[in-house]
Amino acid sequence: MTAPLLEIRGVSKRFTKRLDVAGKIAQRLGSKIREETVHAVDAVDLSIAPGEVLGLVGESGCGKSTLGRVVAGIHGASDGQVLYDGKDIAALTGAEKRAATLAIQMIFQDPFASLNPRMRVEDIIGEAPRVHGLVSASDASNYVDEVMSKVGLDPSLKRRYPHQFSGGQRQRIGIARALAVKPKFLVCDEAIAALDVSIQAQVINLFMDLREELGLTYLFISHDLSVVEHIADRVAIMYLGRIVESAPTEALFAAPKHPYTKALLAEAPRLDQRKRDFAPIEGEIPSPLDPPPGCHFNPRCPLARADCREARQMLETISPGRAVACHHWTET
Amino acid sequence: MSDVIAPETAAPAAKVETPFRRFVSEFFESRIATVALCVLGLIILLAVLAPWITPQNPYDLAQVDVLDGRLPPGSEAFAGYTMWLGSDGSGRDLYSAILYGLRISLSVGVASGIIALAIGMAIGLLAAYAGGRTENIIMRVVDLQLSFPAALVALMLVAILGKGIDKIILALVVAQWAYYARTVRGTALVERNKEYVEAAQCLGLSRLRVVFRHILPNCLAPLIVVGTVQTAHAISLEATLSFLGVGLPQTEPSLGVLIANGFEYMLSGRYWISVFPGLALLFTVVSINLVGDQLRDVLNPRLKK
Repeated sequence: MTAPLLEIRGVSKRFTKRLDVAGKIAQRLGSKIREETVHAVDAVDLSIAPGEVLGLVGESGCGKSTLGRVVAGIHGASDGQVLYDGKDIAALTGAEKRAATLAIQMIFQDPFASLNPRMRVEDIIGEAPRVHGLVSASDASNYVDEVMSKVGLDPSLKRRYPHQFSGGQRQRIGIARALAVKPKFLVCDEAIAALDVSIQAQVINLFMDLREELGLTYLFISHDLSVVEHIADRVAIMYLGRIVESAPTEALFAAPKHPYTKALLAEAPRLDQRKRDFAPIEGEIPSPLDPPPGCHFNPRCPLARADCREARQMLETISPGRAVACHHWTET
Repeated sequence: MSDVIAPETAAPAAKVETPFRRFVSEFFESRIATVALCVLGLIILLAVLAPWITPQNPYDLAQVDVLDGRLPPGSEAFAGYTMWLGSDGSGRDLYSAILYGLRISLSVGVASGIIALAIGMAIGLLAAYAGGRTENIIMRVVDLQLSFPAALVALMLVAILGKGIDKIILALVVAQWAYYARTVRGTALVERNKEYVEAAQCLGLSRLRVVFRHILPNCLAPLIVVGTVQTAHAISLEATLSFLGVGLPQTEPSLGVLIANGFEYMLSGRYWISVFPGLALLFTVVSINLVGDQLRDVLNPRLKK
């Protein structure tokens, strides 16, 4: 196996709502107000090989977007390290830091909020390469044309503003902006969820073409199993801040091991099962403010026993490329 | 292709609809706002052209004749011109005095507005971007400042600083920067959490660049609205201070001074000395406010039909 392009080691991200002065006084006076900490991402390990597409799947609120933002350098990790090409990004400085920052780019979910409404497309795409000296000022215009053609946009539209484009075109502008700094790794955070189905297919195909052409590696975050099944080489399932299972796509869809993955796959709507009734997973997803002890899935899990409520089972490799975090996965 | 870089040369012929054009056409949809803008334009034009279109320079004591004092509208001055709006107690032609007074009122309003906007904008952006304790301290100072009536703050300051245009402007800036700071901070907080700011971070752009090139331009719309309304407010504040006798000196009469001068003659039937400067002030402030209201309607997407 080749060395991973990107490795996530024990990364956690906590958001703490600190008490203000009024809160502290109320607390002194005996109120039950306390600092609230959300464990959005809880000790996650992942590694992604060069050229691979890793699908990250989970319900909304499970922390997958936060993990993507930590990888992309938008949030700093509370604990753990993100290694790019074997080096801890947080420890890099100067030119190396910049190279690593530019190498990892993000594609956002909302094609409306992710483009600055007051900038022309040519500036949105061309600003970063110009600032970082990737192209000279005199070549910048040609470079923007080139990048726009690469993502299937007409370069003659580059003097327009984002609001003059449709959702799919805007998503292409977002992709062009990321590609303009010549990244090696793209974090796609629900990058197609906001698009019409017909446009989704086009954008997915664009991602796959770019992968071939530029040798890109992807972390593809989605809640849509069918999309992930289609494009990912490997899939990681996330539940309440933790990875519960990771496996090659085919193996995972053929034989899920973790009870949560099973439930998730069983309930995915499919054309060939249109008539059947759905049996949603029992119970609600617990609040990340106050996650259950032990395995986070235990209150909803059919296999849960006493040990599940006491100790967390770490992700354990059960066969090459396949890992699961469950005490009782063999029982199914 | 070498000339494509220059923005002007590369402008395509088929520029269908820029945000600016849409903004202009939406602005003129309101008839009242259109009229207000015309009135405001006329007022500014009159003020700018005052030295060339008035018969008398009211600041030049050599041109002011006390014998012309308190003449009703339409009287003929000693120097031979007609005083269409009458004259005040010191013999100043009111038409000339009003136009010169407008110059002072407008420049005080605009100057204090621009300075307060620059200061408030910088402080508000700092608060929004720094966050934490810095933000808390700044915003509590803003709250404290806003809890006093602006007129009171300005009145106290002018009482301490003394008379003069520069001191009035300073007092108005101190009384008003907090409005701008609060507005900018509010919008900047919203903008800072949008994905395009995260994207800019991802692209390794510097903080300064993100704040000034990405966040600030998106905060401008509410700033412009607050700026127009606050400028109108500054003009009426200045008039208030001058009316109370703590603003501008008698030798440089702003509209407020003129109104104050005529106030004592009101009961003797010489209404024109106060009423005409008062009307000028009214038209100025109301037209600026109407323009500001329409700007707010057009620039705030939530109010769009």
